Amino acid sequence: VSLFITGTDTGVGKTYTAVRFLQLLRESGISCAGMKPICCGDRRDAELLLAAGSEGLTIDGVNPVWLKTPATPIVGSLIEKLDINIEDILSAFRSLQKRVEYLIVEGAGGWMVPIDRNCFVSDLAAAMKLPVLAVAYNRLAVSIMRSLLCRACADMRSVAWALY
Amino acid sequence: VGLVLNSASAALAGDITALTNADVLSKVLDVPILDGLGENLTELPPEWRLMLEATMRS
Repeated sequence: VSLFITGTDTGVGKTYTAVRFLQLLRESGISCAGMKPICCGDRRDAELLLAAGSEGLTIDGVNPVWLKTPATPIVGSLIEKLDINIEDILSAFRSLQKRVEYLIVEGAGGWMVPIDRNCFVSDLAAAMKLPVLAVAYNRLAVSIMRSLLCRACADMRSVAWALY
Repeated sequence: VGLVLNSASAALAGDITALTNADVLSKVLDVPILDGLGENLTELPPEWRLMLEATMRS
């Protein structure tokens, strides 16, 4: 069983939510792992997910793509002259999925962050065929509009937001 | 399958949107609005368990 966590923006609490979710799953005796397919800048999110998940996993398994540039993936990959191979990410995802009962995948930044010219974070969630849980920061003006925008984008891209 | 409203700083600041956003979003979205997973929790809240079961069914 797997779930894709996205956000209405960066810094809204995706990693915190994923880590707490993993901790509570583990306390319930469920084997679980977090995955951060792409890190940009530092690798802190992936390290937190690794620490919160079941034992025996590796940082490179949890985070197959690490761009050192603190920018959106499409920019980081251009600066570092690295192609982001979506198939490699999906292969790492399937490998992790086989090892645990519950896998939580955390997207990079928000829902419509570009990974390359042809692929957004939303496309990655769709390629993984995962139900999506969105995190929104609850503050004046932005959370309603951004939540609705994300919802509308998910509909347009036929991603399963409403499987509940 | 759901929307998590992270209200940590809004609640601390006494922000009225922390009270109204969840209600408005629950009226206009067709997915459950979940509270954040606070540090004091020792098990998954009921609405999160329902969401978990929904992902298992899907």
